[in-house]
Amino acid sequence: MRVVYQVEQLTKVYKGGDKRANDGLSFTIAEGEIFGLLGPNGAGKSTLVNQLAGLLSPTSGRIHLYGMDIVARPELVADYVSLQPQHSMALWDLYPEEAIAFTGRFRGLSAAEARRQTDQLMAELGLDKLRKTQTRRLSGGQKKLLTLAVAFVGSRPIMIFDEPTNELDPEIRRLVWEKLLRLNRAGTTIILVTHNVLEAERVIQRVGIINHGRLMALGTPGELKERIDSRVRLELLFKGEPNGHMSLLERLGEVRTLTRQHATVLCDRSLTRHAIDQVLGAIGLDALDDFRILTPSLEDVYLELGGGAKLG
Amino acid sequence: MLTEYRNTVWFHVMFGFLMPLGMLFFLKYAMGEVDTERAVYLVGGNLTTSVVYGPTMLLINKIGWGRHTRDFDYWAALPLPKLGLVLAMVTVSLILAIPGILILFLVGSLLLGLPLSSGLALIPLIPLGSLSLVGLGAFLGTYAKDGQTANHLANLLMAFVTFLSPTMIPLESMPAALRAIAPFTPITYVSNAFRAALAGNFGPAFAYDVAIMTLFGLGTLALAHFKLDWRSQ
Repeated sequence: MRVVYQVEQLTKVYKGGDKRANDGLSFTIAEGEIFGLLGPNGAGKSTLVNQLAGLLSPTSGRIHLYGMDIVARPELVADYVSLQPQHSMALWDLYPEEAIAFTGRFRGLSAAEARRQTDQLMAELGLDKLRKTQTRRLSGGQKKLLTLAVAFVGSRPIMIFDEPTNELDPEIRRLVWEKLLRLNRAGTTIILVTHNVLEAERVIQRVGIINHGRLMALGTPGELKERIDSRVRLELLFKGEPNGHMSLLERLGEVRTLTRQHATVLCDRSLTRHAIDQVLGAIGLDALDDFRILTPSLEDVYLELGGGAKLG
Repeated sequence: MLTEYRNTVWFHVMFGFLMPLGMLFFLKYAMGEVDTERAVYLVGGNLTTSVVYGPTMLLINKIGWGRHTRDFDYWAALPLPKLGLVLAMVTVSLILAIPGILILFLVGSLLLGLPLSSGLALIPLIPLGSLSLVGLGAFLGTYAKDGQTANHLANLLMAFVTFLSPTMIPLESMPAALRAIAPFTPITYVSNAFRAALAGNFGPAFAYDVAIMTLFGLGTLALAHFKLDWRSQ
């Protein structure tokens, strides 16, 4: 697969500071993948995407976009990459359809095509009813939707999103994830910075976990899950006190009690079937309000690897 | 970019002529009787201030604050040539400044008795004069440490344009140090050209002033095109 971004030994120290916001990052992003960047606040994710977007100059290291050196020639980035604007004040005095259509025109669309894409995006993202509202008067979530539409218009082959679903209600969030997946199926490379690991897990194909400016882990969600505790988690929510069943649970694996009625059993993968049979047979579904069987999630990976303590 | 001013257009237009007009009134009534030569100085100087300072101040503040608040990222992430963006900002500033310039010229001429017929000659001088310092404005805005520093730089430039260059004060009345600097600042040539146009003197000196101010404009714009780096540090 063709490499879109090749990042080598990227280091960023802000002027006047001594902390390395990015510290020797090296990785590639392939064409057509959804690449997720996860990490806690202040980890260096936004610093990295701003450098990928040509908005921030690195202290050292190289970034190649389709083989072109964009550290030396940052002006090339905008021809291939669209970035969801984080600060929408430049759009504040515009009406949503103006903001989208003007951005489309700046990206080289004809007036007719910009109009067509604007109408389509406004309908898709539910911005239609806001045609007569200036951007400055939109709510936080509505502004977020507008910045998404601004990133979508002009159909750049690479799109970068920083927390795309923050401030959005669940229905709209689902709509946005579906839109991202549709774009990806059409060949768009998507770079995604998010805290919303549970939602992102459904779309991310490869993930980089950043903390303290360093890349703590890189791989597909499946590869990363193998690096952490791979035990299967049985979650049991008892209708009453589980007193008589605790010894059984302890025989099945490591038990963690969340509340008096809520217990989690971490059991070896090879013993999963046996453990489930035991729970169903000896305890029974009638005694339980809820019973779940969970494998490690990307959130588990994020929590375990994001801090870096267990990676060494 | 023009649409950004749709809510505040009248404020900007008013501000564009209020200060130079106020200064014109002050000078007229503080100085009493004004002869034609002095009137040309006052109206020409005020027009120069409006034409040169307005677009340059807008560039310094807009780029300086925009970069400080990261608001400028929207523009920097679009496939627009830097020079195109700078010229767009200058055009917006000129559009907002034109009513003020017109009022200034009309009131100044009527107040000080200058012929209105010289107005036509000013039309090509307005865009040329405004370009003379925009390259510098773009540089100051880009390399200002933050928005507040950009404000200070804009104020400093205004002090220089208004009081430390031969816009209001005849060159020969200025201190030796400022007289020595004057040939190296485009404001000198813009002021001379405006005054010559107001007085109807379109001789070789006028052509020389226009040529030098054009060269200043083109030179600093070329420098801006090749050397400006929008990226944050």
